[in-house]
This record gives sequence, C-alpha cells and structure tokens, in this order.
Amino acid sequence: MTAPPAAIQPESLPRLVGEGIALAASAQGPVLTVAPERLHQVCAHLREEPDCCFDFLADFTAVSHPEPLRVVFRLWSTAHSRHVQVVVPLGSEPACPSITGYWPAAGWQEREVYDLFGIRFPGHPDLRRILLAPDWVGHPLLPGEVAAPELGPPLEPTPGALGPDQTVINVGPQHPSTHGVLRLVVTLSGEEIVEVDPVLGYLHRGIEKLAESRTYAQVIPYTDRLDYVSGVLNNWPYVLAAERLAGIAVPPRAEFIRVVLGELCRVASHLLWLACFANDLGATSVFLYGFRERELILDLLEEATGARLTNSFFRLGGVPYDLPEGFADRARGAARVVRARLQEYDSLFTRNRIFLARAQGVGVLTAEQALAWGVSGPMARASGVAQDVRRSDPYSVYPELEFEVALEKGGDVLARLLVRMEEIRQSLRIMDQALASLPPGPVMAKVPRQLKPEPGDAYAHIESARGDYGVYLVSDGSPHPARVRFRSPSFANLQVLPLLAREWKVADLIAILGAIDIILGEVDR
Amino acid sequence: MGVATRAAQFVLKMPGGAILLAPVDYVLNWARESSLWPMGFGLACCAIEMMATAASRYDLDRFGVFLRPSPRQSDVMIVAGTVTRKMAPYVRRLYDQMPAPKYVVALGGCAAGGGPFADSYHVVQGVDQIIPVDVYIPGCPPRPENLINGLLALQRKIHGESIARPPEHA
Repeated sequence: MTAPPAAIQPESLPRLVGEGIALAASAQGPVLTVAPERLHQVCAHLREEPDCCFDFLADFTAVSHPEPLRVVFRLWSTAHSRHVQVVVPLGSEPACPSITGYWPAAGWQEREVYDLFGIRFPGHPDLRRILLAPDWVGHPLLPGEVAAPELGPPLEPTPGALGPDQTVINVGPQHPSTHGVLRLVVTLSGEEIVEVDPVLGYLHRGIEKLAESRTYAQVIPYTDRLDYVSGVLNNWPYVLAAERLAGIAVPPRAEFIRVVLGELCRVASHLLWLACFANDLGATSVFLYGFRERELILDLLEEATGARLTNSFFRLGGVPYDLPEGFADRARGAARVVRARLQEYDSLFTRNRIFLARAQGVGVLTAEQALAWGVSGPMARASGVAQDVRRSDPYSVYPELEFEVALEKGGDVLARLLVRMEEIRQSLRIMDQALASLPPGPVMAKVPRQLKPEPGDAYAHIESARGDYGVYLVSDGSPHPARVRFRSPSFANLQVLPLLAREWKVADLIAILGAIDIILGEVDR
Repeated sequence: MGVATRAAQFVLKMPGGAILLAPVDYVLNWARESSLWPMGFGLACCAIEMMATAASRYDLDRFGVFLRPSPRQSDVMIVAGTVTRKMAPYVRRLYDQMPAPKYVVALGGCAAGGGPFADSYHVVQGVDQIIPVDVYIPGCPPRPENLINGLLALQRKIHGESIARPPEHA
C-alpha cells in the first residue's frame, strides 16, 4: 500500500483556532473540532479563504459510539487536492446548524443523518426522513434496541398544493426504467416536468448497523452487495480504510491484482449501464450486445474470484489467491474483443440521429453545479470537472500506470455516454499494463486472525465506476468496528435529478435518470 | 416440446388422420407451463442475474419465459432480491394485481429467508411472510443456470396440477 499523500495543512487554518474551535492533525489531513454555534464561521472560512477553497462535500455523517454523539464531515478542495475533516460534538439535545447554505450537497446527507440518528439541522430547507418510512418510530443508528414496527399498509407520499393544470404521476417503486426500487413522484404541467421528488429507502438494508455487530473481516461480503454491479470496487475503499486504521502494508503483487480486477469490474459495470441505458431509450439490440460483452468480463472475474457478481475477493492485507495460470492471455483476448465491439457501439450511438435527438443538450449539468451538489465520477467528468480519485488523491499503484482521465465539456446525456465509453478503453489499457508489470512475491500480508485496531478513525476513498466512493471507519479497540459509513457516489449523484429534469418532458426524465447511472443498493445501503 | 409429441398416448388414429383426445388438465397445464411470463421486477443484486439470464448468453426466451413489465400481464413473480419493510407492502400489492393462476419464485437467499441481512431492522425475513412461494432458489446471487433450473422446477410443478384441486392461493 502506498502511504496516503502528505497531508498539507492550509496555512490559514491555525488562525481559526479559538473558543469552541480546536485543530489537530491526522494521517489524512487536518481535523477541526467545532462547537455547533461556531460552525457557520468555520464553514465560511473553509469555503472562501483562497488557501482553503474546500468546494466539494466529500462525506457527511454522524457517529454515536463511542461518546459523544457527533456530526463528522469531510471536505475536499479541487484546487489544492486535499481533505479537511470537521467534527461537531453535540449535547443532549442533538442539533447542528445546517450547512446546506455552503454546500447544497448536504441536503440529502443531513436528511439521512436526521433519519438514522435523530439529529436536527436548524436551517435545513426540507428536513424529513429519507430512507425509512415517514411513520417509522426511532432512529436505528443510535445505540440500543431497534423495534421494527408491524408491517402495515404503506403511507403514500402526499404531493403539495397543485396548480390549475398540474397533475402528479408516480414512477416506481416497480418500474422498468428506475433500475431498481426507486420511486419518483413527478409533478407535471401538461407533459412538462415541474418537480421531481425521489423517494428512497425501498432497498435500505441497514448495512451500516449490521456492520457494527460483525468483525472487520466479516464486513467485506456486505460491501459487495452495495454497488452490486461492480463487485470488488466496493471491497476496495473498505479494506483500504481498515488497512489504514490497523497499519497493514499490502504486498505489491496484491496491489497489481487489485488493479486488474478493479478495472475489469469497472468495464463490466459500464457495459451493464450501456445495455440498460440503451434499453431505456428503446434500443433493445444494444441491451443484448452489452450483456454479450459483459459475460466475457464476468468469465474472467469468475475464474479469478469464484463469483460472477459479488466477488468479495479483497482481504485485509491483500487478496486470498494469486491469479490463475494463463489468466493474462485470456484477459488480453477478451479485451481485444471488447475494444473491437466498442467501435460497433460508436456507430450505433454517436452517429445515430434518433439517439442524438434524445441525448444532445438534454439534462445539462454545469461544472459549478456538479461540485456544489457533490457529484463525482463520470457524471462530473462529463461536465468538465477533471476529478478522478485515481489521479487527484492516488491510492494503490495508480501513480505507476499510464491512463487518461476521460473528460467531456457538454454536461448532457450524450457527454455522459462518451465519458463512459472512453473509460472502458482506458480501463482495458490500465489492465494491460498491470498484467504486464505484475511483480513476483506474496499476495497476502501477515495479518492477525482477528483484527483489533487501536481506537481511532480512518477514511479512504477510491474511484468506483460511479464516482468518489469513500468509507469512514471508527474503531473503539474492540474486534467490531464502532461505525462503518459508506459514502456512496450514487446517493450524491441522484440528488441532482430534480435540478436536471425540471422543464423537460417525461420521456427525457427516463433518459436523464438512466444517464446518472444509479445502483439502488448503494443509494439506500 | 409440442403437445402432440409429449401426449402421444392421447392421439387416436382415425381413418384419414388422427385426433387428440386429452384430459383438460393436461392441455391447460401444458399451456401454462410452456409460456411462463414473469414480471420483470428487480429488487436488488439478484435482479442483475435475472437480467443476465434473460439476455444474450442464457436466453430465457427459449423456454417460453419472457419478462413482462406489468403485473397485469404476468403469471409468475420472480422476487429477485431483498424485501425490505418499506417495500413489502408494494410486493404484496403487485402480487394482488397479477391475474390467477399465479406463481412465485423466491430468487436468492434474501427472498428465501433474509439472507445475509436476516438480522437487520429493515429487512423482511423471506418473502414467504407476505406472499405464498412456489419455488425457492438458493444462492447469493444464484447463477443464471440456477434460475433456469428453478423455472424448470416450476414447470414440473404446474404439470402436476389439476383444476379439480386448485392451489390454495389461486
């Protein structure tokens, strides 16, 4: 494992320190501990000061154990490529000023923390439950027993006051184009969209709570079931965070194997997206083509890990087995086929006038909006935001590998397609290099059978197929993690849907939603 | 698998041709089992394998199984994934919207009994708590071959049905 990049502290931070504001250093950047009443002063400083410029809300969550109950959030500066962590300890009446005025991305994040921890955010424009049903009693991530209510008839969302020519339609939770159990309550004026209210939580499985009763190693299989189309890319941020927490160094061969499998998963994920997205727009043939190529990649993954989807192949300290004999040749063979077929897709899409009419200029997201709303991954890069965790905050052996960060300026549905097509090419290129430079040696570090890291916390993030995927781990010294938080890119990316869909037609809503590329397992967790 | 080849014992040779004289049960079951139309309704990870089963390599169409987007057009519900407490009432409602006779396949560990999430506060411990299940398919997620095997098992089950003894939930 490469060491986390040197945490350089912005020079103006010590000036903030005073009553209610403390500053500490950690391996992953400075940590500010702020009293709730001083939070807005700190936010303004972090947002505006030229040597801070923290413009991207990377993660936002709360921790209830060990005491005290606290809100923890992490900001990223795209200008300076560095993190800062802000901790807000709360008293017995848990309330924390809302930071949505500084980072609109906090909107859904604060709703989630309110839902799961019961922390109120004065100043939040729309504080209501987001994952659990509105009639749920209690907050499951607080310590203590969770009493699940009896299964009864669902409480339907009630739309607000409607204008004279407005109607409400419901898309989902069972709808072929919502890619899972998402529900969209859409207010229409004629065929034009006035407002979209996504209703989440139909796949909320409480993984973060379950993880607290598992050992560190037992959490790994749960991560695969978050973003279930890109297997090991989910394992990665979790094992990275746990390795940072416990100070485990991963052997170089294991790092290269992780890169090979990770990039294969990215290709499989983008191919699946392409297939489903094309199907949403009515191009059923591309659905069949996408799945045909994806099977080639799944064969490789199955050969190496033993599973098609939920690989659970990364371990704390490396990978359990070496790649099978002859894997490199078969991987190169599959890559050749996929590269050739990508040209076919190009002719099906980028020169197809029907497709261009549905994609060009539709659902435009500007670079400023993308950063403010915490959008990352191919979505952000299609809007011209040159952020890729593999380059901007490198992990594993990516600094040794050559690849281009796919970038488009359009910010529309078409640009998102072009970025993902280019990413498939780049991923295959990375995989070729990693296979060619696979160093000899062990694939697993010496790790104690039961991990008991020192009390503390660690954050790690990677570039998954959907964006900036982070894991925040808190240890209390026991064999079970005290808190496991998944910062899922789909959750943040989905938040801009109402912004993108307003004033477009219902059919465009399907194209815009498809291009965001959400996976509900990761949105609802 | 035409009815004429499988029901050779029911064919009566007549001068100038043959007639098929078969029990109503046999013909009805044959019709039902040969064109199962599951609802294309995915809940979680297993839905991705269900899609893969319907797509290029595994090609469910060759068994007469064709995914439909609406419960009104379906006679099989493949519960593909974790049923959460928030989703459970809708699963029940979708089941009620399907016309009888209808069948349910619980695909994967979660639909069968909660799977790895069985002790979660928001997960229903198996879809059989809200609707009757005909076939359980193990796996996390089950491979496409496993789903095909489950659907063939459902066909065998339908083959043994009789209109004189309708299933309880029909």
